[in-house]
Amino acid sequence: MLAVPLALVLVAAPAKPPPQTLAAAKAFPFKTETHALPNGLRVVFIPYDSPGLVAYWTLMRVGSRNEPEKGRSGYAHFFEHMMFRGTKQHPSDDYNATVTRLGLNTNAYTSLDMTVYHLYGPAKALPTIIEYEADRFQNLAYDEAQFKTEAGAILGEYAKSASNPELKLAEVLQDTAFEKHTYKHTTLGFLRDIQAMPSGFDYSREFFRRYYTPDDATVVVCGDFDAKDALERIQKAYGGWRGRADPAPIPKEPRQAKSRRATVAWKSPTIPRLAIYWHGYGAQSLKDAATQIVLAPYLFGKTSPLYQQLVLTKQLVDTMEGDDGVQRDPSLFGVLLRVKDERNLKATEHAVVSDVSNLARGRVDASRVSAIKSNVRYENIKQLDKPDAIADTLARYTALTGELDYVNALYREVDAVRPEDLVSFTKKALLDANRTTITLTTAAGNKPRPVARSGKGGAK
Amino acid sequence: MKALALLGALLAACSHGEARPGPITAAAPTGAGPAEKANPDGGSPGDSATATGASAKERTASGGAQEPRVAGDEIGRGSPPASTSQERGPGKEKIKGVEFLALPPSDKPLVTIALRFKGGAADDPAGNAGATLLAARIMSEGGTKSLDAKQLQQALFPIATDIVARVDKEETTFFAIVHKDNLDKLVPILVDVVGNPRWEAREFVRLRDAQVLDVSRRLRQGDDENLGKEALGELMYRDHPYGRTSVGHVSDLHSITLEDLQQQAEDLFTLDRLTVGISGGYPKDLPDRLATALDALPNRGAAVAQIPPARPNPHPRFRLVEKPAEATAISCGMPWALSHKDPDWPAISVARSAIGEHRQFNGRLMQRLREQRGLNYGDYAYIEHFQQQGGDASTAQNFRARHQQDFTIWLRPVQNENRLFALRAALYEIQRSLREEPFSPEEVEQTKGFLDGYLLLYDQTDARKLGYALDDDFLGMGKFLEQWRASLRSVTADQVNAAWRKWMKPEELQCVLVGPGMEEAKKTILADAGTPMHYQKDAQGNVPQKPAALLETDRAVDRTSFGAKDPQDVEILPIDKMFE
Repeated sequence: MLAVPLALVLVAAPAKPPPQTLAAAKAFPFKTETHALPNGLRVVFIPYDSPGLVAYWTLMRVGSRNEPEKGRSGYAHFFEHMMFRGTKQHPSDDYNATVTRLGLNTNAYTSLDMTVYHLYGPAKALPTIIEYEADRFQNLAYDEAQFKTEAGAILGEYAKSASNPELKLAEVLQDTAFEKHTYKHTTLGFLRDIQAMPSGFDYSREFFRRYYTPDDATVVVCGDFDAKDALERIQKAYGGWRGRADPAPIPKEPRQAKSRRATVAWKSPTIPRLAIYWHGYGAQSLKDAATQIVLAPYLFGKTSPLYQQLVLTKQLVDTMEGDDGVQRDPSLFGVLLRVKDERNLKATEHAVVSDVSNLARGRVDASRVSAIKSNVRYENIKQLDKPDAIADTLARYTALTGELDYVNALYREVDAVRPEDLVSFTKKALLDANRTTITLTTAAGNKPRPVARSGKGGAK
Repeated sequence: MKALALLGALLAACSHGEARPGPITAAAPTGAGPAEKANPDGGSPGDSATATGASAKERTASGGAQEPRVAGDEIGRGSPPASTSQERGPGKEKIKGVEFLALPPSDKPLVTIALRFKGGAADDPAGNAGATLLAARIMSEGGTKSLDAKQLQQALFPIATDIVARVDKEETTFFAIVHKDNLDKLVPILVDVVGNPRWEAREFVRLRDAQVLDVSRRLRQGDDENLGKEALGELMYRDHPYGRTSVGHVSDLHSITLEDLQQQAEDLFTLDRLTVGISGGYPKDLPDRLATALDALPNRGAAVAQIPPARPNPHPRFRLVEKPAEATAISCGMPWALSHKDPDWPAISVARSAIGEHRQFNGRLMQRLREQRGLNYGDYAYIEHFQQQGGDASTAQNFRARHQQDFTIWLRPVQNENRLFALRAALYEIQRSLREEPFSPEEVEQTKGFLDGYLLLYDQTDARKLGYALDDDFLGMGKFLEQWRASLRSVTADQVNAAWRKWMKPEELQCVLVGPGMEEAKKTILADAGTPMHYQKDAQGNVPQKPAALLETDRAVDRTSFGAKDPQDVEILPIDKMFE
């Protein structure tokens, strides 16, 4: 049984009002200027006081969720790599030489729901950025040999994470928790699919046709630039981009009827892991998404009774991290715990489930809900401190529903979460039948020697 | 805000360079911009940053237009070059006996406070490797006389602030970034963390065990790239105060007592070793308030240790760490004396970028190992000690000034069948850059163009500006970044090549490989036996068509000598012995 903190109050107790200084401000407090091109491309300008610097972000609303075909997991990410392979007009050597000469920090990333291409650097580079970005999104050209070489880099990317047991844990968690939906695989993809990538040249072209269309794209420019000039250049450079998104249908995940469990035997000595996750709600369910954002730190954050009990007092757990799990489609809400001794896995799981049950029974600490909202607000403002961070924030929130104002809407909803909302969410979603539990322990035969023995001078 | 701690941290995938770290920045759509984490990738051991408070994120403050104004007096151990003395602005002063380096206030909403002590992991007593980091962790996370560990968390959480203790070899910095709304709440807590730590036995046990697990389970078993880097650090710095990884050794951590740590703090975290750095939108009276509060710190600690130059010690040249793995992590390097103050810095910085720019495509290593051959995910080179700082792409290094530096090459994990070919390819490219293929004028001009723009990102936030100002102060120089940017423009290809030939000694490079089958690798290295390139086959088992010139180069790479002649040049260590 977990101790009930003294501060525990009934649901009806009012939460303290949040600090006035930030409460009235929008979560995304910047003035934005939005334009829509006739072909569907959306352009957002955010002027920001960053003399001489500009950030240029391109959001494509395609991620590993868009990989429903068997054997084709990992292609959104693979395709992100191919986007650096150049066009007829600007082959990859030219692209690289140009972004290098201009001093731009250039990269891209892929996740479940999005692929984001970004350049950041001197503002004087903006006309060239527009020309080169517009060109590669319309005219990407790579041959099969280049495609096969890039497959090696993808395998290398998998290899660099392969020594980390949490890659395997994430793979098993998603594979177990989902039956139909494409969140069943990680963004990197199943290893077998990565290994087969050299044979997927034709499919990669099909992927480009389906998803790399202007109506699926949003360009965000933030920093020190002339908006009128930038708009004219963008209209000219992207005006000829044609095509409509033709997404493959994504299977709906059936409601989980029974608790699921899987175990992973890791090949070398490691800290045992316990992952406890429930199916949550997608970004479209605004109120549920906001509740998940408050609930994850409420149950699993560093000020939660569970953390204080398991990490600080009993010291059974080395670290624990909550996930609010807000994605485009309903994803997974839960917690990952690194448990020092595998003999304590059961007790740890029991403690988590027991705290969740307590919340379902209506025991909620309103003062903590208030502290979490304050934390969320200040954490957000701390992040928005430079053009790249600002552009990235807007891109990632926009990816969820496609709405540019989603970030503000979501934070407004977070501010409105009441203590009783945590209770009702817990009652409807954090059910045993909806839960997936994964444990990862060292395989028999590779068990480590005990590590956490008491040294001299330690508390007994 | 947190999302997908598990999924997000691992599922993100970048075209090149680091997957964006942490739960938020990667797959997860909630949260915000490219955050820096105190412990990127789950905790980089040498980085040795530790945090308490709202989250593990270490944030930099708002970017401002103003340039840092740096150190008036000299406190570093080296003498500053004469040319820089008149460029130093005001900014450093003593208030009530406390040394301050305050940048001009900006109009941004965030404030950065850094309490920088001269003293770090190089000061770990013999047999107590990891002591400074553990002491700093217990101070920053384990509670103060007035707040226990839980209360400390609860006090910092609503203001979304962490107190981060970053321990490097020669300095330890406790810093916090806070919204100005909450400055009054933070200041007394921050002062108490360094002035009145609780030294609670329970927290000692918890954090000691966490540090042991970090070495024995994460570093040794779950993070081969950082294992390789830390092993290289210990190899390069044998018999030097930098010679043990900052996170410590398992047996040392087990024998450390709470009293040892209190003594370590008494020796290192004292007023005579302290400089308080401030930047961002702070109120005018902040230095005075901090000075009054910090006056309670002990005046004097142990004498500041002198760092001797690292001597080349080329045996063994290869340390092979035997460990089961699907791919092999590779790091090479050598200590060198190049510093921010060296007149060769701008020229060498061009050579570094041209040979292996971090997380960009322009470097020769990246182009030739990854882009042409698909050998791995990335291939980079560094001219000062490098620790990845989360999602921040640039190689900017802050709060980590050192009197001894090193050159390193980082090859991301390579499939085992190609690992020795990849190592040879890196050695081949270094050798060619010194002989047959020096940096061309076009390559140099292009790289200068890159750095001219890219270096603007190095100090774009107030926190970064403060970091550079404190590092300049530590090294006894002024306006390093400004001088670097200014001198770059006049650097010629001849200067780049001359400086590169002067500093780069391929025969002194030491290499660490982490992976399986090391007895066989040792034989191959000693015999300089063949290690042909294996290209990835497709599903039908076909090898891709490669240009004849590349295949010819592959054969030349395969003839490159590893440079190990004697059995003692190659050492094999079982994983269990690492950092034990």
